[in-house]
Amino acid sequence: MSALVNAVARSQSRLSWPQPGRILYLCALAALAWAIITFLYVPLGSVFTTAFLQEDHTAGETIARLAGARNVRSALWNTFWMTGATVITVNIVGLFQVAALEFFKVRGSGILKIAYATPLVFGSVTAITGYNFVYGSSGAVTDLLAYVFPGIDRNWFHGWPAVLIAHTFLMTQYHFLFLRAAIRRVDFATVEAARSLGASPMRALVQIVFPVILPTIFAVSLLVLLAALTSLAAPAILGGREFRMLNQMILGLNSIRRQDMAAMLALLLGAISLAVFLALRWIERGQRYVGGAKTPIPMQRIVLKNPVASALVQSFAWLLFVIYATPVLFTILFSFAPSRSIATDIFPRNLTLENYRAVFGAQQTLEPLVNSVIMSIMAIFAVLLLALFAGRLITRTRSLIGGVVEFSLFIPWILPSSLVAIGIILAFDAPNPLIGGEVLLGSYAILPIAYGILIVPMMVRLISASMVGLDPALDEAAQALGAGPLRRFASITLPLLAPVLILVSALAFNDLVNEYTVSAFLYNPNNRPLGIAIAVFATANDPEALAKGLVYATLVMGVSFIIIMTADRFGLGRAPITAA
Amino acid sequence: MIELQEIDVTFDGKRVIEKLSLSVSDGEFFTLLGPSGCGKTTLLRTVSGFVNPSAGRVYINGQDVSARPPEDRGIGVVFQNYALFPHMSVYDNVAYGLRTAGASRARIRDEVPRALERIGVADHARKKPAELSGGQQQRVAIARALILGTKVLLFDEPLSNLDAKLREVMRDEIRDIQTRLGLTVIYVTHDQQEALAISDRIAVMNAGKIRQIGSPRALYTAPADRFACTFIGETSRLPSHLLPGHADVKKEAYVRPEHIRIGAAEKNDDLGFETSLERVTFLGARQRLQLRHGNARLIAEAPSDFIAGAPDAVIAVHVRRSDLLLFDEASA
Ligand SMILES: Nc1ncnc2c1ncn2[C@@H]1O[C@H](COP(=O)(O)OP(=O)(O)O)[C@@H](O)[C@H]1O
Ligand SMILES: [Mg+2]
Repeated sequence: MSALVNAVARSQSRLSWPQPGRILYLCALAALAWAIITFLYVPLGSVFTTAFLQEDHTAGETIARLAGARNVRSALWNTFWMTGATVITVNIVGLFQVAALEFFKVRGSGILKIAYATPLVFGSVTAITGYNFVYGSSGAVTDLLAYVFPGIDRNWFHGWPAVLIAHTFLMTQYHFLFLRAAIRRVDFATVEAARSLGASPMRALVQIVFPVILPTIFAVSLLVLLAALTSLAAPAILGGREFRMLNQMILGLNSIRRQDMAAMLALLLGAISLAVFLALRWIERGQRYVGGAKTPIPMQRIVLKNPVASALVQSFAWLLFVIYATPVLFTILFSFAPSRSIATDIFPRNLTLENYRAVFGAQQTLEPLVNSVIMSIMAIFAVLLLALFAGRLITRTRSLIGGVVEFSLFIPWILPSSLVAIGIILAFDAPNPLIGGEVLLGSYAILPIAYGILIVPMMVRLISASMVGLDPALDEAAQALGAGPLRRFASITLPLLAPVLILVSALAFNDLVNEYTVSAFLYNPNNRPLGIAIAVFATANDPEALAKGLVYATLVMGVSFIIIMTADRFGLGRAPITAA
Repeated sequence: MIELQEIDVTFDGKRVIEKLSLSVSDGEFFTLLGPSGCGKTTLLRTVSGFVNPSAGRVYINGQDVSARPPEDRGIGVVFQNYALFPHMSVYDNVAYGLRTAGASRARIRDEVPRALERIGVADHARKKPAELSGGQQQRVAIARALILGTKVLLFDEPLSNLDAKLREVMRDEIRDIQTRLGLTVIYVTHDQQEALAISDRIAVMNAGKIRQIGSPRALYTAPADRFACTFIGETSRLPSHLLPGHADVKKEAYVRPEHIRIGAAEKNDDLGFETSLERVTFLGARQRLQLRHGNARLIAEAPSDFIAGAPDAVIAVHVRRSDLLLFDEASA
């Protein structure tokens, strides 16, 4: 019976699409082509032409001028050593976390896990705000430190140490996601084998487990490298005048209209990102140890019998807990504190909704919230439509078009956000015929468009991956029953994909409400988003403003928490790294 | 010598091993046999130190090792999936124990090639485990476990990942190595044939308890209870009305296939009865007859030249009194 249905369906699918459907298809194809050309290739091209094809000077002169500028040189140097240092410190903390959660039996690991997961919901500018709030000159932790060591410089959390500390604890989310998944796949019997040959648990961890997951350690290290390399919120809020990084330079050069130099630096970041991406691909291809045991024993957590080792592991694990939990708890707690309490108390004396009322009651403070939500939804909705169509092209047709679309839509994954931003500025700072002769720079639409570019790779990848998983026979069965392509799409494909679409949209929303870098380049008074508003309040000395920043941060965290918890149930972190 | 005294193991409040004691002598090949889930692996891991019993003591060579972690017990372990370190070469796998013990380079260079030679994988020293066949991996696992000169070796179902042919080859090889090096081996399997073929002594386990310990022959010819009887070798239960004096003695009678003899009773106290033939399975050297007597189904054996006849043919058989395996009805 089903063979018959299939045969009928196949014979029909060879027929061309019905006329109205075909016209719609061609329109959609044209729209997709326009979007890809206008918002991917033209901005990228603009960056190259601006960097290399200036009328009055050569690219060599641009490079020479950059190299001659002392602040650029120091930003480059800062960026490189900070990136290297971050990769090392994040690995120390991240590897320890993974071991404490998955390898050693540590008391209270359920609570530890929640604390170690906070970088997933407490990221970017929100987290930096929280860190600044508790460790900054009037922060609770600084109060405590000053109480214990009266001579301490209250401004200790500042400059490169603050940036390194923030990086170290806020960039462990890749370890949390990917490395934990990897260590769970290690054959526990190999650990026991090592122990039966005289190795202590610690030795087995270092000599057996870590080498086996080395490819994943490399991969997450590269992701950390990228994140540190393109860090903007941390140096902008914590670095102060004496510690600046590359993205700040690009932002600064752009604001003084030296866009040739900004473009050149952005391309440098882009080139490094591309190299990192290729390295990631190479690592994932050469998964060397998949040929291990045919029937691996699932990882189990080991009780440390050596009292010294046990005490060390437990206390370091709980120290990390304190470091992770403090900024989050204080941010939430003080968002409910009277604003005068923020500047003076270590703990709020009483709790109130006053700050929330203030934020939601005033147009000026409500606006960034509304802006971020609306612009994120606009971007997500547009990209959903695009991804559904593109996903179908990619998965159902093995044509050149499918390949080109797939490749094109993946490009933004490799590009640093600042490069995307510079590209949009350069392409649309003057009337552009591709968008009907409009200027995007300074318009409301510039941010939703840029947001869309940021989330395209992730959404297209995940949606087309789940389209591959759909049984084509269902679609064909509907076709055999006389349903046209649009009807089939609406009644079969869409309902089946709905859970994935919702999940992917939620993840994108989480990224966008936390977005800082692209926002910093492109926002204007019409569309000031949440990330920018948080950063402004974070650095304010006025407790009223600080309170509003804490309210924003708490709200963003709450939304992220719900989204990430939901996503975790659907297997976050199990997909290959370069696919997401 | 390995001795377990009154071992209790509980997982999440569930008792898996109950007051279990046993002792294995030096140079003995000792097998734990039982259905899956009965606690064999748990008991073996109690010896190696990976499982901490909630009560009881473990002695190895007279020393109480109960409190020692696995790395300090000096026991070799061969794992069911071999557990070769996937990122190390065969050579490095075998050298691992020596390196961990801080052996000198000269000693490693001397001993590892010899160990590889002895088990016949010297040609593969530079390969990664994934490049080896199952049998070769097995050999490397054994060499690795023996490199520190341990005299005690534990195996947990080492042959279960091999195909039937290789299983017999490796079985004999393991026994050879054990004899040659004078090892004390505790070997876990759920395969009674394997246990009978390889062991000096077998402990039959069920539900966390030892039901019987004895030589393979003793277990086969004189099983202590119904469980041991039905778990080892093939048996048929005789209908109780065939037993003389069955009204008074509440006993269950079992009989091995080779003891259901074809033909009418020969001696006075033989139990003779008629059966009908249900099925004949030709096995080459022998054939297996499936017979029915009333509601009871009986398995018998016959030489391969025996002409059994068509299905439903009537076949007279008899069983000698001395061949009956009798258990109290209560024993279960
Ligand atoms: N780590 C563990 N946690 C909880 N229960 C376990 C664990 N290991 C084994 N068990 C249970 O103990 C019983 C005996 O298991 P095991 O020793 O592996 O049996 P065998 O090796 O004889 O098949 C089984 O019921 C099993 O589910
Ligand atoms: Mg087992």
